[in-house]
Amino acid sequence: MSKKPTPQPALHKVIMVGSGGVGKSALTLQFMYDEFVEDYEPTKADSYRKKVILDGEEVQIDILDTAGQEDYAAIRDNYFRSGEGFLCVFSITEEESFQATQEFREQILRVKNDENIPFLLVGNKGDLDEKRKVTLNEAQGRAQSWGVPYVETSAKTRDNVDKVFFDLMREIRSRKMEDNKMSNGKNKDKSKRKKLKCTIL
Amino acid sequence: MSIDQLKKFGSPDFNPDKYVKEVSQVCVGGPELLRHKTKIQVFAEETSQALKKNVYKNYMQFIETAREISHLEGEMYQLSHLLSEQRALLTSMASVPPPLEVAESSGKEEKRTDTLKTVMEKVEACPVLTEVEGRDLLHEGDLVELDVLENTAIHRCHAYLFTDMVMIATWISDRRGPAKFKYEKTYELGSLAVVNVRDLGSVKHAFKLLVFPDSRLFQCANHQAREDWLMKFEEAKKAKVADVAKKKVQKQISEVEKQPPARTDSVDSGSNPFMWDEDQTSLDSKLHQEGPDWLVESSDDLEVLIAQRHFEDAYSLIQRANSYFQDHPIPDIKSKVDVRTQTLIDVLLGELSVDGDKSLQGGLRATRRSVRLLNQLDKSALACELYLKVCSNVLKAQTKRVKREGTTLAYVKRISEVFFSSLAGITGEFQYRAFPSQPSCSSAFVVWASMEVSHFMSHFVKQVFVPQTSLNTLAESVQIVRKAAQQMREIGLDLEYHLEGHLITPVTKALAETREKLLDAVRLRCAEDIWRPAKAPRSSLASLTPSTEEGANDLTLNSLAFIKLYGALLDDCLTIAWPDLEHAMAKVLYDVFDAQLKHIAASRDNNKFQAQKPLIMKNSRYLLVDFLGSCRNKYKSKMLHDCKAFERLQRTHALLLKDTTGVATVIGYV
Repeated sequence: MSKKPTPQPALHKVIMVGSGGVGKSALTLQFMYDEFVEDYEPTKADSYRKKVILDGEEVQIDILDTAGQEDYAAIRDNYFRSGEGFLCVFSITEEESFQATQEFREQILRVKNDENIPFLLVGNKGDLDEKRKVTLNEAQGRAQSWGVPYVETSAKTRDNVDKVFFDLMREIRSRKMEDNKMSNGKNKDKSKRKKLKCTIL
Repeated sequence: MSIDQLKKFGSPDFNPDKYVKEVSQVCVGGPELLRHKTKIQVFAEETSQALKKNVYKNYMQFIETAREISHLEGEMYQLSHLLSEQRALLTSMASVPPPLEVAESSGKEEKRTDTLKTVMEKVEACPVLTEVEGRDLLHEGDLVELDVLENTAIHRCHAYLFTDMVMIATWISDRRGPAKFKYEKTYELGSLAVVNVRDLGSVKHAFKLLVFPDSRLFQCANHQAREDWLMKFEEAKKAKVADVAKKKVQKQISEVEKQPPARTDSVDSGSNPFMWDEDQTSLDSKLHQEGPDWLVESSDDLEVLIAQRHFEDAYSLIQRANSYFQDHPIPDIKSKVDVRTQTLIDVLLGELSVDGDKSLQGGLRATRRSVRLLNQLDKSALACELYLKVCSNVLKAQTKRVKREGTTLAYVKRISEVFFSSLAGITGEFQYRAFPSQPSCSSAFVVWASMEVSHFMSHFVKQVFVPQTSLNTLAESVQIVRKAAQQMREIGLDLEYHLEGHLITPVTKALAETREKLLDAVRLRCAEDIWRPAKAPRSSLASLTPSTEEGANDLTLNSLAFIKLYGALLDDCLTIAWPDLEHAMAKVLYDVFDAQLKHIAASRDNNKFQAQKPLIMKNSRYLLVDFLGSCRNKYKSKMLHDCKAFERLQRTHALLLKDTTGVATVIGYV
């Protein structure tokens, strides 16, 4: 609990989504603690927070690592509502997990009601190229159709792990700046955004 | 005799005539024949001796075996009793009576609403929790709410997790009245997103609740508390999912069920003549569904019959209904009848159960009706248990009536008679009237009987074996109880074994006491012995020692007193005696006699009594040969074998006879 009267650094809320076992937790833990956890244990819903330097500015990242399998759609909606940016993860070795991303994307768009929500399609387990089931073209095609970037990562070798989180945070940051400008320019376009931390003023 | 000859006699084709002819041919003259005859006579004697020995050995073995068997039998009965008890338990578990279940669930229901009410009392401005059916409290605990952004503590609060929602209440700092918390908010479980906060800088043991637009952060006191909360949330969600699924299925079923009546209605209203058949079958099925009138009313009738104590009629109605159900199962009515059957059983069991204030006027005869019906209702095990309790009470009541007055012997005699004759009566009633041909009940009975005997015997021992009781009284008491127990053996229940088991410890102790007492007595008298022949009348002696002969002349007073004392001891011992006790008996018999003989030996070697030496010798000879011999005979005739103690006495004190003339022959016997 910080007792400093100084305002906290900006907080960016990232949500990990994707089917069970694709490596959401592995990516999170690798990003948080530079560790690769080999054992698989299904996550329920874990949150992490970390201070990072984003382009020379100190910010906080709040990662919500969700369960791949959540019985209640209503509950899943509540998870999604709390996020500002999404890492939609699938495993390149598992076709089904790739198919599932479509559903996650739709659900997020529905909940956030925003086509331009910061979003990254992440193909994990890049180190297992020999077991690849989802081609680069396929994934890139889908990302393109959604208008989001596609990145392949490996939680095991830490390939592109920092990149996906930082890219997403940059998107969130720029998105927030845009929103601020809009609301400042007496634009009352409410896109169901939550209260914002005013870092610029 | 040679083994050769033995074989000859023993062979199956031995022909005496032929043998005699052979012998007469071989033998020349009378003397040789005579010699042969003595030889054969000796042989015959030896054989008969061997035969006796064999018979005795086998006899002992037989007794041993018989005892082992009765041991085993008892154990088997106990086992069988245990098994049938377990079976009864299992069946009672398998068929949980329906009313019990209702009571249980209503108890649960009560508990549930109670907890909800206490929660409502504690929380100020709490919404009414009890109006949602099935809601229950799953978990509660104190938490600290933190600011989501700053991670600083906002306030203390208390959270309640119910089966369908979470309620947050804040702590009232200046509380008055019963309320401890103030209601703040509830969240539906169906849309509550719970997040385990793994890493939030310095904040530990926290979890988040995300319910748009709220996002709340709570901190638990410790790691375990948070794990509990998360686990309970998970369980509650799962239960809710399962519950919803169940309700869905039930809804579907009820919808399906609703359909058939609608169709019959349409059939009824339809006037299509071709539908007649179908109509008929539906009527038939209606009959099947509801059964004939008597069956529909059976449940109520049964209630009335039971209330009016027409148990037999109730039973026959149940029988009739059950046989009807075999062909036309109507679960609805059947469950009702089952409930009534259970009631009947309960009432009958109530009849049998022992109340302190219930009079036992009718005795066991009064229970016959209930027991018979319970047997018919297939509740023999339960009935048997209660019946035996009644029996216990009857026994207790009857033995209590025997007042403790007069001598111990008289009391023991009366109480033993009462106890065993009651027991015999109960046995007869049990075996032939109450539970004929029901082995599992018989085993319960045997176990019960042995328990009752144990009770009785412990009472008996307490009454009889008080310190300073003479061995004579003990012996007679034991004899009385034994004799009384014998009548049980006559009706097929051997309890002697139990009696002996209970008696052995106190009797052994009593024997040891008697030994000390008699040893003191003997030593005291010996110390005062002056070796002078007694002038006591012969007659009293004769009665004590049946084999009194001319050797009884010139006995000293001390010897006479000893003979009297020892004869009484032996008689008492033999009255009590049973094989297990022999060791203890032998010790008493040996030690007491030994003390006397030692005194004689000491006197013989004492110069003071030089003049009386022939008298001493006479006395010792009489005691050691004549008296001891008669004791031996007595013992043998009762116990059917020799007493080791007597043999040992004769062996150890053989020296006492050395100086007398008849030594050689005496030792010959021994």
